[in-house]
Amino acid sequence: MDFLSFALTSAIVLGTPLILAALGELVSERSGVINLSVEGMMLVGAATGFVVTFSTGNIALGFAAAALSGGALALVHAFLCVGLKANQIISGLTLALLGAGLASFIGRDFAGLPIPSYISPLSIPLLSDIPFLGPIFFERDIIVYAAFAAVIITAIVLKRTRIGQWLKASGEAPAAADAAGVPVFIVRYTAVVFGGLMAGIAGAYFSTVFVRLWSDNLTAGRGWIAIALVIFASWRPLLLVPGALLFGFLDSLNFQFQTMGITVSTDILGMSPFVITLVALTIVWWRQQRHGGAGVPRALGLPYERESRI
Amino acid sequence: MKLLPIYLQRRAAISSRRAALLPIFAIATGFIVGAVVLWFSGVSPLDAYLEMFNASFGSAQGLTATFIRAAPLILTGLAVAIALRMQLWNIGAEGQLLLGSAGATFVFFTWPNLPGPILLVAAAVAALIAGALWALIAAIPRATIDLNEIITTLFLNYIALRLVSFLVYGPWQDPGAIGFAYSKPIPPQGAMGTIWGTDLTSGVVLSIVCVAITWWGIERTRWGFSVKILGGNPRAGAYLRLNAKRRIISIMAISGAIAGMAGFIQLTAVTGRLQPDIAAGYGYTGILVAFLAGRSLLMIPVVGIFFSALIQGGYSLQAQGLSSSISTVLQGLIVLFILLGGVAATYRFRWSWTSSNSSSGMVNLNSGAR
Repeated sequence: MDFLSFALTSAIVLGTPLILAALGELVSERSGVINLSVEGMMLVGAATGFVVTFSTGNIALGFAAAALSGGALALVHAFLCVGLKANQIISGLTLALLGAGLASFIGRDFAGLPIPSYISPLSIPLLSDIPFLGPIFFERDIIVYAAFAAVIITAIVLKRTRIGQWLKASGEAPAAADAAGVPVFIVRYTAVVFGGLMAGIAGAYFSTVFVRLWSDNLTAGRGWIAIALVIFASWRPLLLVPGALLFGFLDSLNFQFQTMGITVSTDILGMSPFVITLVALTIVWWRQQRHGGAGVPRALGLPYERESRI
Repeated sequence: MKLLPIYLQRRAAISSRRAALLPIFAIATGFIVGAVVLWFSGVSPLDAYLEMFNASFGSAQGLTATFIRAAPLILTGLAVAIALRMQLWNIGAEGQLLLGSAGATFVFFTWPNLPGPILLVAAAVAALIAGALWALIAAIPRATIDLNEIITTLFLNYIALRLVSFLVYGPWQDPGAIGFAYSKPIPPQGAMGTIWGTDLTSGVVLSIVCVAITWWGIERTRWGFSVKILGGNPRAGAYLRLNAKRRIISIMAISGAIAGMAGFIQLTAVTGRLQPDIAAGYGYTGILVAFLAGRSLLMIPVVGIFFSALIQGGYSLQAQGLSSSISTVLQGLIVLFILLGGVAATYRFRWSWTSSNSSSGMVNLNSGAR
């Protein structure tokens, strides 16, 4: 396989968990709740997904368990921040650390054990016959297709449906939305838990499909990258894709240069995705600020208290 | 349509007795939930907790280890807490610690023949500067274009880790141990002394001195007062013509320097070599230390020692074939219950299925289901 097609393929594979996690975070943030525990939820999902898949041999069950465990952690965040109006940043950071600890605890007897590949590529008839691009985009596994489909569906739901309107209203002006009959609390609870489910699935994709191993801190900061991608995308679902693919591509260079025999320090390569994302984030943010507003949901991070409504 | 028979009512104020009981409630509840986790994984919680206690406070050796480990935790906790005074979230103490130890290592390797005291002071200054500069990378965009410092400080942690790894496997490699994840050793006169013939290093004393100086800076100087005004009410600060941008930069630099100091202590008192795992998650645990210590900087040493004991105890479980991650879980749970308890303390709980009382000030946990 030549360099370009290999690079694009790995960008998609490594970008998929980022798309899933970032999409979940985007929905949560559009409802007004920032959830900084994406890394923790991904790790819990990765550990749970791996343990269940390893024990049962059923990867679907593994993904379901991963989604539930990520969702459960998110439910704690929602209860604290939506139900009790606690500080979203403290809760998120604490859950991020708690999640990492829980994941290590869940996966402690499974570290380093390999599992077979349970998901095989699903080639889409006709489309996969397109020269060059066909094999790259249309001979992937079902989760990849699902992730891209989820992005498009979320974009449509946000733009065209009543649920999307409720979500945006809860994140922009919760008091007005509440007065207009939008169930702000239910919307926020649902959005946060959705974010947890997605992060859990993203983690399981990483542990059961991509590396097919469990080790402590397996996701190595990708949950935080997902949070950055949401800012990068100005809170718009479709714009998540280029960012995720770019990061996936940078991430994959490490593997590629090794196979190509190019000797670049793995450490320099390993830090490059973070350096580039940091620089890109700064530039994008700066430009958005200059052009008035970055698309930040106006009530992001603020608890909605009905009793203090004016 | 109701899911839970709970009503909440906002309290006007929290009594001081309630506020004092909160940490006790949180720690007890954290341990109870932790016990459930342990029990579910087939371990006797009582045995595990006794083992953790014995390993951290139960013997002279354990106590020494607990105090040595407390030093970096106190400093990273202090670094996070002081930034919080300005409503800044320094999640980058881990990276600043790494850079601090790298800065100190640089001094040790550049002037290896300096006499001990001068070398130690020079290395400590280098650690302070390196930590501060690393924090400034996030502080400057925060001050100038309002770029969220949580994400940037966190990214800098991952970059710092790779940077130290690069140095350790590259320029500062130990020629006698190629391929190992540590640098050549620092010169022998660069090792930090111990206190009065015990095995306890001066690190914990140094960290408590740092807490005292920082407390004085925040509570007793004009600068500290301006920081508290800007942190508490930015509009009042603007009205008083306080320069928020400059305060953001200075407070983050100090925060980074304090974390860098933790790196100096780790290097000179614990590892003796630069290594990528020198930070060992202390930067992240420091966040929890700062949360648990709450508004009081002087509580940080107490919480630091407590968390250090938890970590120390966790490692003793690992020796018995259990996972040391239970200590991380316990830390997270305790802070979570502090948060839960802190919010819950501002409410009065009423249990009732009937929703007859819908007067002002009442809120239902299931609000929205109307």
